[in-house]
Amino acid sequence: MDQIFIAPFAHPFMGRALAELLVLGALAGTVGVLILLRRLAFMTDALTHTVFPGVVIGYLLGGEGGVFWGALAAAAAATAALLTLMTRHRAVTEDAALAVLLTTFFAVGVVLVSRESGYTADLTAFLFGRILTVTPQQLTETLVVTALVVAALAVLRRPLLARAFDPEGARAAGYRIGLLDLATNAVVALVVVAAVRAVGTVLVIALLIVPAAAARLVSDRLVLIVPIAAAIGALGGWAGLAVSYDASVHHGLRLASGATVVLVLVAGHLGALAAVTIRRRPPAARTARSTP
Amino acid sequence: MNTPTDPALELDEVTVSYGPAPALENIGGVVGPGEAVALIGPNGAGKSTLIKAILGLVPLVSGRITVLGRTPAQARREVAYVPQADTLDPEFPISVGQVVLMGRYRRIGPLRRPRAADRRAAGDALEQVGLADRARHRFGTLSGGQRQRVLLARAIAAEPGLLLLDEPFNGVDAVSEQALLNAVAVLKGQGTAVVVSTHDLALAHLACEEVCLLNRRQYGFGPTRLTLTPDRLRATYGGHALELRGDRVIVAHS
Amino acid sequence: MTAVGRAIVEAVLLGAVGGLISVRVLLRRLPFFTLAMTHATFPGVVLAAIAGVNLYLGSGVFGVLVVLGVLALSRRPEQGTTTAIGIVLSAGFALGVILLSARDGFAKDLTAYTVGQILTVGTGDLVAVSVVGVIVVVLVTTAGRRLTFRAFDPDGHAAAGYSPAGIDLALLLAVEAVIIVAVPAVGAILAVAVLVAPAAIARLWARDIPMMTAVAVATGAGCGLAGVLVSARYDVAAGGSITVVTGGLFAVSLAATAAWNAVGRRGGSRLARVAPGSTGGERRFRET
Repeated sequence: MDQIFIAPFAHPFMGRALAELLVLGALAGTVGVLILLRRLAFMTDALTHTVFPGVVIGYLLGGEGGVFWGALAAAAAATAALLTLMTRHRAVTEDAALAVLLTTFFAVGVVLVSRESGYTADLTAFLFGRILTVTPQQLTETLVVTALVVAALAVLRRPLLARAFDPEGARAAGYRIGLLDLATNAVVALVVVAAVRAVGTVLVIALLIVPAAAARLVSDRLVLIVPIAAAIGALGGWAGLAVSYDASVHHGLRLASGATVVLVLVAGHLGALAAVTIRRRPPAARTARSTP
Repeated sequence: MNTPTDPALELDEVTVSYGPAPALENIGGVVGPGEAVALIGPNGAGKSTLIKAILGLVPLVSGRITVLGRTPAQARREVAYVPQADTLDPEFPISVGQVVLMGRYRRIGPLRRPRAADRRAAGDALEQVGLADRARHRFGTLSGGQRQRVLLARAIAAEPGLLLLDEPFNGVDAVSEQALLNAVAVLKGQGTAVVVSTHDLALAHLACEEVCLLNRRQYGFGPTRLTLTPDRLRATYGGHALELRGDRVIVAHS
Repeated sequence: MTAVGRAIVEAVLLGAVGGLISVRVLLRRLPFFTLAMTHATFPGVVLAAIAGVNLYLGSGVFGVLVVLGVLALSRRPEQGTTTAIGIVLSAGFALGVILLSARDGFAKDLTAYTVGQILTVGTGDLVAVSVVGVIVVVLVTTAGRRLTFRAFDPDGHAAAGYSPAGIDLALLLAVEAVIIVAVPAVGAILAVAVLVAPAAIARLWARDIPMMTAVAVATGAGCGLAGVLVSARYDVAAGGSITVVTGGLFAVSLAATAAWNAVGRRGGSRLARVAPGSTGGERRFRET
């Protein structure tokens, strides 16, 4: 066990990768609870894709260091566009608007990157991240984002809870729903931007959804769900990284780190699902609330 | 601040519209502190619209609403609103105690923890609706009537000057209905004005001194006994779907 | 036929078939579900490539498993369908990436599967699109009315004695079939553009479902043609250019119809009443 889960991280690059994933996992797990409560999984997935052209433009303009700011700008623009687009036109449903926006933004990134030579390798890095090449500067940026997000959540936790539980009541109590939703989108966008280089645009969604969903299975008390989700996110990052390293070095099986983390998280979720199902069998009469 | 003699709510020729046709036209009336008024009218009559207007959530085309001497938006902190419990997500991971404490959020402020006074107010409110023993249960595990009582407790904890209830007795069991009525009576005794939209004319007789008959426009506003006459009700409901039985009047839902 | 010629035929056929099914996807509120299916079909494509079996067969079998997985996960009430879809989506994609990463030439293959390579389609691909097209046309012409009934009023549909499971399964399988033929051309991530965007555009212009269907089919085919031409002219990825053209048309349509609505309120209310069961954009609160 020690050889798999501790020893590899003596290498400086593995140590940094671990630190980055622990922080991101805990952060995404925490924010994921908000996404779960508001049922924003689709919006989150859209954000992970709309960030992509920003990543490409940032890279084209500023090289490796420009990625962060390009992604940030694109995420901000996408957040604003999402919000206005969705609320303006009555003939556009939210899911259709999100699907079109998501694919179009992503396609803009694909078109831009396909003009470059070495196109396929670049695209792969953008899509799936490069956790093993995390620099100390990136780690610092992740920590700054974490501090910002945690501060925002600490200040807004009560209004956000009230809005998630009972939008009409929160509006009646004088909360500015529009501003709260903007803050929510901004927080999610920040986490997506912070995670994009480590795990890539496509797999951020897993970090933001799976730990919170697993925590919700284990508990129905919010005070427990948040720390459990953060812990699951961090532990999943650790275990996934260790497994992918071990498989590559000792067994000659190259496994992409980001994807391994996701599969470890999903396995954890399925484990929780199985454990909970066995412990308290749900009444047979319970059916899906809204099967598509 | 308003003095106790000021009216809690004044409606002055209120007109609201969503499209070309007005949803509410020339609604007028006054509700004093400690008084309750029932909004009576068929589905789609504009009862919910009027409640939103009092909350300042829909713009007025003309007329004026004054709440506790101020505009609706300014007065919102002293107005509590009870939505219909069945519109809320029963799987939401939140305890009954937390829901009631929400009524204190605007007083607690963003950074501080709830003080002993806040917790006491929430506990007392839960006691008033008879659910003190359920504080740690998850909201979604309660029955429909109990959830409605929890939402009323949240409103009580806010210590409002004006309480707005939107169809609070829909699908509520007898025990919960009695608990709701008792809690509303206590609030009125403390000087809170109450506006409640309902189909149930018997409840209007029981809990409200005044009624406002509503179907797009106003068919009457005044003391319950004088205003709830068969003729006016027939006018409000379009002359059918109505059954009169002695003192009680029952509206057949169509 | 040249490679560009085949690509144009493929894009036009795929656009028309996608446009036809997209109306059903939109009315039934399935865009997110479709997105999850496209992502989760991806490991099926990879597995089939590794095992050397037919790509369409491999991804087809996998796609059916995915549909069942989402339905099973969303049965737990505290999870909610969107969360279940999100989990299946990310799990499916991660699985595909892992399978690919264990092989050589990782980056190149990955790009082909995620954003497509329409310029390499062969005659077999054209046949596959045509076959799926026939299946979708048969479904829509024979079961169109039931699909509309089910989408507009699920309770009424069930009360009328229809089996909701049967019609749902038929629709989901048809959607999965279109995804499978779309992935080689436009890739797993962009396939959802073919399966949603034409109807979203048509919904803005059309008054009823037949007209919406006609507009969606024409839009899908037209955007496919324009996308391939743009791609050939400017040397950019074809899957990307098809999607960008479609998205641009959506943005233009949105702006044009919004301006039209602002000019005449009557036109606005007529446009808003286009299709039953899709009033989700309305912010008006419920009157009781």
